[in-house]
Amino acid sequence: MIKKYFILLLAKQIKTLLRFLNVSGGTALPGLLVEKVYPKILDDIAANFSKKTIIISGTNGKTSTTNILSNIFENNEISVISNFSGSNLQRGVISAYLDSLNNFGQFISPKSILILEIDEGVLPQVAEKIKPEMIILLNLFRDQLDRYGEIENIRSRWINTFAKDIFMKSKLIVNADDFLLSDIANSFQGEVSYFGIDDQLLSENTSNRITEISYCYCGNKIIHSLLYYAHIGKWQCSHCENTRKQPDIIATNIQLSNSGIRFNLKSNNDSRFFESSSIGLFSVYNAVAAFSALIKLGINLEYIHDAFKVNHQIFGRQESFIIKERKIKLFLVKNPAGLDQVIDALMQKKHINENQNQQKINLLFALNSRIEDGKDVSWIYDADFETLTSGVGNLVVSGERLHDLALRFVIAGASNFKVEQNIKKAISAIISKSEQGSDIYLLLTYSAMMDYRKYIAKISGRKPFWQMLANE
Amino acid sequence: MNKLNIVHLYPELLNLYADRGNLLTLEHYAKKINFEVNIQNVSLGDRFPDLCDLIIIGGGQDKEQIKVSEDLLRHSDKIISLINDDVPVLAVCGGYQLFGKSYKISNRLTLNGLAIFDCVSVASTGLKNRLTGDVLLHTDSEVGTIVGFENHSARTYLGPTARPLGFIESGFGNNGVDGTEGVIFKNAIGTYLHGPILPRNEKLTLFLLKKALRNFSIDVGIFEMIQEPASTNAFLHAQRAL
Repeated sequence: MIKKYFILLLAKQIKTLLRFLNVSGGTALPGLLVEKVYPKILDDIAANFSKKTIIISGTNGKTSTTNILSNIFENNEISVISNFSGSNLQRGVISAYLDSLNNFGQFISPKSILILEIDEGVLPQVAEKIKPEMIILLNLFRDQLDRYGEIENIRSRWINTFAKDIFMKSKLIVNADDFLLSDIANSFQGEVSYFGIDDQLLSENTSNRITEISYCYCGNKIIHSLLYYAHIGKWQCSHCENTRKQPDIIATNIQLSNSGIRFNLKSNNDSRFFESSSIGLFSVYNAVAAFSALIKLGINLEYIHDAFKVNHQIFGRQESFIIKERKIKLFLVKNPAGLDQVIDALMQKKHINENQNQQKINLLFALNSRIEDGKDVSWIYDADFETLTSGVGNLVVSGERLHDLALRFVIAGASNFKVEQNIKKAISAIISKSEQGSDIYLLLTYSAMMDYRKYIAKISGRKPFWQMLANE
Repeated sequence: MNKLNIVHLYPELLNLYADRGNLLTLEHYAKKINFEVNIQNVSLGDRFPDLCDLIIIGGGQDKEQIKVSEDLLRHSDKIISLINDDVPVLAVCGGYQLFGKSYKISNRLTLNGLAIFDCVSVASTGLKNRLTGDVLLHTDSEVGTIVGFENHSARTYLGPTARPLGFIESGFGNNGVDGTEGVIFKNAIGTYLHGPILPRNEKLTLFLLKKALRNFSIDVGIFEMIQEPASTNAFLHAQRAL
């Protein structure tokens, strides 16, 4: 017992020291230390938090969904412990837990809840230990195949884990529109509720984009009566009974535009109109997932609506900065489905006024291949650079894998763009190419995001949102 | 405009690993020599197209390979006669295994392949057993040195009549043991390399194009003129990194 508190205290001190030295956000290292010397830490978390834990997983949208949920709780003075910064392996979870303890190993606010985004690969082991009150599953797309192997590996591990009766008392919130999640929901023993989108106007007739395997477990083809993006939509098996469940909580009348999203959310007999400055259809899914969780926790829609209104502009990863009278917007991109969604949003595909002549955009794209980005960059060939290239005016290509990225743009038909690895020079190149008052979009893989954000935050003279939040 | 007829086998099942980049690359270079690319997708139950200058098959998960293997055997005679007529093939990963003699998925299940390549493949389970990472290999043919990325659990063993595509300097290759990577028979190439393989390996792309268009009278010099500096840069960057 004494040993345990000593370790926790030491880890906390290291964390404080790291933050003080400004070496890092101190999100992973203290957790890693505790994980090594006190491996039972997850049991501890489980003992204290099982009934007050929400776990969020899926390929895309984890951080945004976590932030929406946390903001709404905090807005109503419910204290939240979370791995906000996206450190979503086991060590990040432990690190978040350390934050909830004071220097005597006691909880700072005993009533707080734990909201954790968990990496798809470690989800089974973390979920089995913590046995959370609620699990939110967003989607499954191909992502970092070098790390996870085939998608089927993840999916079958999820099915095996979530069929266990230890989850009998847990609630599962699942995306009805992703058929890859349907087997997991079907074998779940606790309460399941579905969220989804119903909007015919968003459906594509044909898609020349790569989608996930469109076959049912019975061996026959999955067909979509509505297909929103990738393999996400209103689906059914062409042969057996397997079909998309009617969502309990559903978004309709969706309007996408340059300045954000608007949609109607329906739950039981209530219906509310929401808007947000985050762009893209994927942002609708993130919001609906978060709202579904809140509704299932017994919070009514009117209340959510009011809370969301107050701080909707801060959610998500679409941060913006003003530099030299240009508005710079940052987007994290890490896999084909996510990138295609950002491309659609930037190209204003399906936007309410998409017929108007669209101006070509200013774009800086940086591609890295460190472990956190995925060592393999082949995924860029599964994304729709052809559409992106057709809509880009000024282009700067950067990152440690800039030559691979430049080649991808050439194959997509781009010519006459700048290739520059140095962050300072790359930013200055895109600024000098673009007009005053214009928007500049930065598409960045994970580690490139860290590097670029640091530099941009510095020269913009303004702290990014997440730091402002932390200081409040 | 002249047409380059590409047969793409089972694209909706074997599309796991961005290998569609190979098609985009062939299209890019073909355009430069004024050829329009006609991509003909062959799915389960489809008949094999009459016009075929080049065959492409990619990789997929075991589940999809099982579906494909039986259907693929229907086209066995046709594909063998095309290859004997020097039609080039690019078979990557799962597609490579199915162009070999057999692929043993488990103790209970072995898929029969087309036996165009003299090789057998054997699955190995567990994430830790995957052969994953960057690859650099040398061939003794005009395609020279090749870079790519591999990610496979199966091991492929070449038979006595098989000629490897090349020998590994860095990476695992066919089985991580004998130093070989891929296979070449006439103009048919089997390989584990993704990346995708063609964008960064211009010599290989031009080799496939030349062979596919062998019946057109194209001045060989023209292939030198369509080289792409961006491809060379990416190739050199990969080579340096290894």
